[in-house]
Amino acid sequence: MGEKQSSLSVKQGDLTAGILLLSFSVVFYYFSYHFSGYEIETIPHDTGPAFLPRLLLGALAMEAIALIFSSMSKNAQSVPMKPVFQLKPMVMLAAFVIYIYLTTFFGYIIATMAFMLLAFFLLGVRAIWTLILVPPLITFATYFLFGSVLNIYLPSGSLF
Amino acid sequence: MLENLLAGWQIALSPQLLLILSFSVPLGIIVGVMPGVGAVVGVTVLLPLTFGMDASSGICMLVAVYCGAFYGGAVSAILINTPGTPAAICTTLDGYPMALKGEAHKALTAAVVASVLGGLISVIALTFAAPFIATVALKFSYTEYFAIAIFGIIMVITSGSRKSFLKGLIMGTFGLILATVGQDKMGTVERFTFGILDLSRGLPLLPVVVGLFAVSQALLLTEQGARAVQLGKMEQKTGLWEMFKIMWDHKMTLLKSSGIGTGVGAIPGTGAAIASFVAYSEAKRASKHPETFGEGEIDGLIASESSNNSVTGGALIPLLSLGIPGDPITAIMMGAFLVHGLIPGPMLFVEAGSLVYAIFATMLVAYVMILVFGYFGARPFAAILKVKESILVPIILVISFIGAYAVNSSLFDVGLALVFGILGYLLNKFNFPLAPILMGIILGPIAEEGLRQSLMVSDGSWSILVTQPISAVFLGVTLLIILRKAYVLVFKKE
Repeated sequence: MGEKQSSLSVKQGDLTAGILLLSFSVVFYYFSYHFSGYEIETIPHDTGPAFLPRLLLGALAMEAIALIFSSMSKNAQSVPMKPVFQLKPMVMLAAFVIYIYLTTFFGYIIATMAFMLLAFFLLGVRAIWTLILVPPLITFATYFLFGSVLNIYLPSGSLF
Repeated sequence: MLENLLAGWQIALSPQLLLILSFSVPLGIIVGVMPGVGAVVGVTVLLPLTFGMDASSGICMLVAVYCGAFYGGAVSAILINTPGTPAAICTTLDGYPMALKGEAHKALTAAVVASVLGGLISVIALTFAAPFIATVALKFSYTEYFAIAIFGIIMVITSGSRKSFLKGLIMGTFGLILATVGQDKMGTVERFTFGILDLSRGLPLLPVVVGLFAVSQALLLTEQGARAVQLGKMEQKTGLWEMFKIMWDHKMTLLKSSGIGTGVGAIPGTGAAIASFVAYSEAKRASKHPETFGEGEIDGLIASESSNNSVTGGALIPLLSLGIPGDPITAIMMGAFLVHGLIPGPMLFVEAGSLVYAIFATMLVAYVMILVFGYFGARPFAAILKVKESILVPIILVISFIGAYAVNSSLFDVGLALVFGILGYLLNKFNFPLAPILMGIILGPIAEEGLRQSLMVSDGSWSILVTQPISAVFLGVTLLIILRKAYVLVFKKE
């Protein structure tokens, strides 16, 4: 099966990443002037809480600019990069978000079984015994192991 | 020391820990066998199991998984020409050709024996080196810790290739910035928390680790099509005794490669892949028949496996003695220490000496178990290669949920793992390495506190960083590494 390719080339990807990182450093540099809370006392010779973040954000900005320039150089790779957004991972991500949300209502057991069933289905699992057996098996095995043996609290849900 | 050594062995040989090890060693081999899962994801996913255990059981379990996973990578490398872990890349070079010649069993036996012997040599080195370094490190002040933290970060960043150097540098800086999130340690100023109370104590390490390494990998696995698994032939059996005799014939390669692995592993930011490349190249250079390398030469297989497994002991030296993780897996393991209220570093030898020696003893026991499981379980472990990604992905995500949730029983932490999962997924697409972020997050607070305290002690004089001898040496070496990298980048082609 051939690997899918993105419409973005590696150099365009680097350019995009460089611009995003530069924007991040500029925005967060601005936020470094709006830290909340107060220093209890002025400690002699202390560089203060904002010194290192600003130094690092400055460094990040310079590195981002270097990435932008390197993406514009003649040697930059113009081969296509791996596609950034593919349907399957995005759908899986959405299912995971819903799963996190559902645990608050239905608790770990029901939400996990529902999530695993949905995830298997989305990933193309059609073997009926896998769909019937694996979700409850994994759910109860992890619940027993973490909840009962290791005494780790797992969400019980607001409905129960 | 003797007291702690005996106490450590007592812990390692307790029925409870032996039972835990008898599960965790095969579990480690299983995660190592699966391409795409590997040691990093395996240790991350199994991290939550340690939360409900006592400190020694939990940490020793992870150590056993760590050792098992490094051997596991060889199984898939030999049988399907796909390394389960990056460390086993060189194993494919001679392991797979051996399998094609009908010598898969011999290759697997050679891999397990070389792995075990390499691992044992590194544990012996760890047992002697770590306490010595820790004793020296007890005299370190904030200045030395600042220098060592900077050295660790730079080593991780510069270990990448020419193409990934800038991206590694960016990720290291990004990790250091993330480490500044939360309440300033020397005041009450909230930095980059945006009024979110959960961020006041900084970014929690475990959700970040789970997100970056497990959730992102699960998302990447969903993109892959089903693997075509065609296992190498295992008809011809090779006995263990016979293999030990073969190892005796290749003792120089074994000893040299184990030494390389332990040494390389002890340098922060290097890791098992680099160790096995160096050891493989050295074995090929020293061989009387270099032309046979890559065509099923057992010497190459021994070099690769003994070196990558000896990294396990080496990588624990800086973690246990200085509190500086040697590779991403030991960085993740640091999370297990912190969850149990233990801070790796020289004080660990004072405060929890028996635990440290229990780790050493556990590694020796784990390697003996690897020999047993690896030799007798070659066929069942090979069958694991047939498990599809479509089954693995939901299981990884469910355990990631537990891992992120378990420490603080907080759904905010799960959300954070999700955010870092997406970030890790995107960074992977743009070819940014993830390990420097983790090193930045772990070493950032050490570096900042070290710098600020040093400047306060020296009345604001930056010269303190170079007038303290150990700090000067580490910063000097760091500078040399940067200059050498800069020279290579500017004047050399590839």
